[in-house]
Amino acid sequence: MFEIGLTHYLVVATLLFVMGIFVMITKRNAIGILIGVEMVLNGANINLVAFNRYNGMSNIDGQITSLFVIVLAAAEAALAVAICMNFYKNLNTVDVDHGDTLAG
Amino acid sequence: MTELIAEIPAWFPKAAEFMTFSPELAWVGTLCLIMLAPLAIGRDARMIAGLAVVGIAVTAFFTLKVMGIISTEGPKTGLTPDLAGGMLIADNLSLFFKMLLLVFLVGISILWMSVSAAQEDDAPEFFVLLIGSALGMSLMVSTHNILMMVIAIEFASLPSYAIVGFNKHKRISAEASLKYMIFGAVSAAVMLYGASLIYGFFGTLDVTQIAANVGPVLAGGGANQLLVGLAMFCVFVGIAFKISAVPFHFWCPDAFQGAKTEVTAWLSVASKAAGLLLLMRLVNVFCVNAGAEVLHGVAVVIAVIATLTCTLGNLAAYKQTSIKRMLAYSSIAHAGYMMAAAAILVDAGTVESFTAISTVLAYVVVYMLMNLGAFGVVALVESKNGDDDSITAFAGLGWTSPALAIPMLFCLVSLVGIPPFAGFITKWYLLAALGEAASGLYWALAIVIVINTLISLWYYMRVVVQMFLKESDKPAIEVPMSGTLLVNACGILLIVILVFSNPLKERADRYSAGLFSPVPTKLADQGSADSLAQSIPLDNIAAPQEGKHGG
Amino acid sequence: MDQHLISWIVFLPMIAGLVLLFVPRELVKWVALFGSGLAFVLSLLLFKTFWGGDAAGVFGDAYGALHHVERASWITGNKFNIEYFVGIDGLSFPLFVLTTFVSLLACLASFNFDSWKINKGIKAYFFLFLLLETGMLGVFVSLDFFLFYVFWEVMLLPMYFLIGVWGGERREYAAIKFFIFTLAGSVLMLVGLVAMFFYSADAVAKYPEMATSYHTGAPVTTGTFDLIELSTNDAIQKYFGEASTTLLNVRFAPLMFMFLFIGFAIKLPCVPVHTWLPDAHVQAPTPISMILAGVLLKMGGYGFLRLCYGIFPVGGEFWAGFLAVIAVISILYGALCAMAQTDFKKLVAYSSVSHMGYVLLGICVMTTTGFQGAMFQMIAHGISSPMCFFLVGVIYDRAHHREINRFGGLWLSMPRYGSMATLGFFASLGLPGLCGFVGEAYVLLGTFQAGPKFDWAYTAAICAAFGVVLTAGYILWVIQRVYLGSVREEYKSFPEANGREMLILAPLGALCILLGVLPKQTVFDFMNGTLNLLINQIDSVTQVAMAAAGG
Repeated sequence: MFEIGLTHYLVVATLLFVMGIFVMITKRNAIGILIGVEMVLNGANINLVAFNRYNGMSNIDGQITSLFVIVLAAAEAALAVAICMNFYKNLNTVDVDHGDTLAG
Repeated sequence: MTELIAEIPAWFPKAAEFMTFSPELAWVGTLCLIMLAPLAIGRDARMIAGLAVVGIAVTAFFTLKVMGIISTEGPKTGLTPDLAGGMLIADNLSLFFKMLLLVFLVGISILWMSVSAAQEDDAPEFFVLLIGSALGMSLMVSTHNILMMVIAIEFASLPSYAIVGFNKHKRISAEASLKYMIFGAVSAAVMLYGASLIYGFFGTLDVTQIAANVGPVLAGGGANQLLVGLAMFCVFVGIAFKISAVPFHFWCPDAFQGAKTEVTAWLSVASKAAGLLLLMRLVNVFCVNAGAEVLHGVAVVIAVIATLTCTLGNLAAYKQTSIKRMLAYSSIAHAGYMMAAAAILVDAGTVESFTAISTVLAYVVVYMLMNLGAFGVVALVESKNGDDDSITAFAGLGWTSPALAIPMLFCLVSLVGIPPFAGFITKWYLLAALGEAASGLYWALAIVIVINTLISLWYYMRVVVQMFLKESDKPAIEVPMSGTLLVNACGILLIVILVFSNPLKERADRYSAGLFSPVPTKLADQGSADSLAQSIPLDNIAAPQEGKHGG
Repeated sequence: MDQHLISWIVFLPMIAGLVLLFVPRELVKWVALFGSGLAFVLSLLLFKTFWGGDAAGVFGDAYGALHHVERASWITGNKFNIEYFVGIDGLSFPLFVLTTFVSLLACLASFNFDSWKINKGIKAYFFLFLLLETGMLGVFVSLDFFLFYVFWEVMLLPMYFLIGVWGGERREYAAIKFFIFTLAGSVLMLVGLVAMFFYSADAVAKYPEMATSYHTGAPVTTGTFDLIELSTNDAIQKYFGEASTTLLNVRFAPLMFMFLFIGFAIKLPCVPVHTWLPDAHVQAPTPISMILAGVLLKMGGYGFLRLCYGIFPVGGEFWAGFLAVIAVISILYGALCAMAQTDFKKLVAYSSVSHMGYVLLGICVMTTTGFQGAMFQMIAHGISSPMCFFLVGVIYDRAHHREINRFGGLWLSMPRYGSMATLGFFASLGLPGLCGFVGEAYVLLGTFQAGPKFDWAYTAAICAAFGVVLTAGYILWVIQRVYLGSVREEYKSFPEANGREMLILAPLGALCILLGVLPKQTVFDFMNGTLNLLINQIDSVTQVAMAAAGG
């Protein structure tokens, strides 16, 4: 059995990043786009913790940063859902393509 | 366990640090005060606005006090055990920007009071969001640390998303805030991923340390160069989003058009200025430490982005019929002009770096006046004609309400950059800085900027044509005196600054000179920069090192 | 008073303008008249300095021989020291007095404001008019390039409004066309401004031993904006003229000459950038046309002499052939277009294009006689052209149309007016004995004299001489169509030129005759000294450059 090393974590994180970007680009549902954002943020989190763990733990900067990122992601999600709800109240949909009044 | 308790005094901020940190504390105090005030004094808009102004005044008092401390004791940093890599910086630049934001906040509050206070039910929330985003912006300019940078950018952006959608019942506000939020969230996520890669590569969050070690990596070529270059570009995406540089500017016209005009005025200056000054600070750190070829490449990239930004901003403004959208594109163009100063900073072979920063500072001050005046008049006119923000709503304003039209004229002509207004002086400083840098790239940038000045004339003059060359039967616009006084003060200051521009320039020079610049240390205990490359092969697993916090 | 005479004259109109904003409506005209009249009277005081000839050699061999100099430090940046530096010499003195004179007459011509088609905003009109006068006066006396540029641009906005608000049917189009064209030239001048400063700094650094100033006596160690310094300092002239000095890989002197030339060519105007002039002149109200034709066009010529040829004579030599072609085309094309016109005012406008072609021709051959002819032509045109425009205005006030073919026999129905009209148009034609002749004759003479220097000179002179024939053609034709012939019924009842109109026409007519009969005492004496010095300067620099290039 091979040991799990830094590379594996990085690969997972990169996969999350790429999938998140793909979701952000292709989804039309606003909540779906937010899911993509969360995926990328979590990819970043995995990166941060893994780097910190495997590249020397003289300080725990990476892990602290990932805690902060979790909090930021949560705040962003809360606000984002509130904005989506406001959007829904005004347009009766969360399809971002329907937001075309402001154009040009 | 006893270890932990014994360590508390070591990392807890001392009194001196608290003093240096006091503007932020006062700021947070103002926020809490406004949030809790409705429990005590009710939700009357004027009372809340007054309370906000009081809080801002206290914060300003502390900022001035710290400015005094800094001028005698030099720039400071702190809030981590590692003093060389402190998370927050208090130096002239950050304190000056705080003062600017505070003054601007007062201006926006006055504007808000004369335009929307009468029918606003949610005054406390409005001020919490406004002042909250201001705090985030001030933090953006006060840091060298990637974590703090990310936190600050988010701190500045999240309240902005909410405040853009503040008109809950208007469709375009909801749409604008959704677009802004999605765009911002995507940019922030990408930026954070890039930041995590950079952290991983260099093992530190402090930009100074990173800059000290980035030179050989970027010049080295191969996989490392690609990775670090891409990661830095991802971080740049987040900052470019705040500056609304092309191609990350798409949120700007929509957000500005959908938001209330006071909010648009706020965002157009403050968030862009914060992003630009953050960019200047980061680039300043980089150009001290990296090598010449790398710097030249980065200078070219920034110059190209600046050119695209100002040209696209100016050209796209032509087909706009909504004045807020037009001014949004104009703000994109001006952000492009200011970015050109960042290009100088990068290739700082012949120009002392503080010239570029002082150019941007002077530009930001004048830009604040111009935009406050222009958007102020738009807000005042809009408030009396049913929220119609088309350019034709200004028809005949010059003859019916000259008290509003004349400051608008001054601000618009100043935005073009023509004498006798201050916009020309700041453009002149920019061109002089470019000329001083004296290489082909910068002369080309100078020519681009003057051509853009010419291109931008007509779309600003369209409004002037409406105001003075068209007739209208509408009666004079009656607006509160405070609003009229505010925009007229902005207009007159623009002329005064042209005639007496020395004080402005002197202050800009002074406040951009004493930047905090720690001496970077080599990353001894993190391994060299190619430790990452070495750990990529599957069978070369790095064992976790025993650190101080083992166990 | 004598200390700051120039500043008083320059700013008096603007002060009068500010005052009249607060006086009752009936007095506005008189305050304006007082302002411009006082400026004119004060400018006559300058004759004292220049009577008896333009004292050459006041500053040794430096061209300039400045009088009434005022210097004050204005904007000090990191490296530059922009000054409020004004002074008057033989080059600017005739034009300065011409400006105050024409402005006074134009102010008188505006006295029938209330009977105009658009007569709203009398205060705004006179304020902008006086502001324009300040700008024009400031351009002629500024000796600091930055100050020159600021005054140059200050004129744009008032002129835009004066044409755009109070003009004819297509006034908006004409006004914005004027604005865009002039701004296009100005922005290139701005690049030149920055470049000249930094290159002059390089020059004094490269040749410090030659860098002693002729007109202050002190060595020059930094870059400078001082126009006299830039023209006369040996180090700067040598460095500018060298073939190795390049900007963006193009030789510096020809490039800068072209940048500055484009700006002044638009103003002069030269074909092909003259298209703004017919529109602006025709659509502007009569007094503004008088000022446009009488003064603004002269700024192009003045700019050539002071900046292009004063500072970059090497560039002048480089482009001489090209400029001569443009000049001859302007003369002939302007005359042919004038011949084809049916609108009286447009005919006079095209005649201005044609006459200013002579100015360019006289300047581009770089001979003493050529320069003298060009300067004299500017003064002469500055007298005959406002006269012609006012004559058209008089008839337009009565007939409310300007179609030449509908007029006829006006001399018979309005004898006094007809006499003055004939005098004015013959002066424009260049009848010997009137002012228009001397200028054209000297220009042709000067072009012939340049035969040995430039092999195209003879051809250019002959083609330009043909322009005289064309000019005679269209002017005689228009006199015949409008003033001669039998009286028409519709014009029989026209009132004769009244007191105010004669008060404007008579001095102009008298000057036409006086300048034609006594050119030396009235014009040449005042400017020959400076022009001689200028030519000496140009010759010495171009010879040095030719020697250095081995040619």
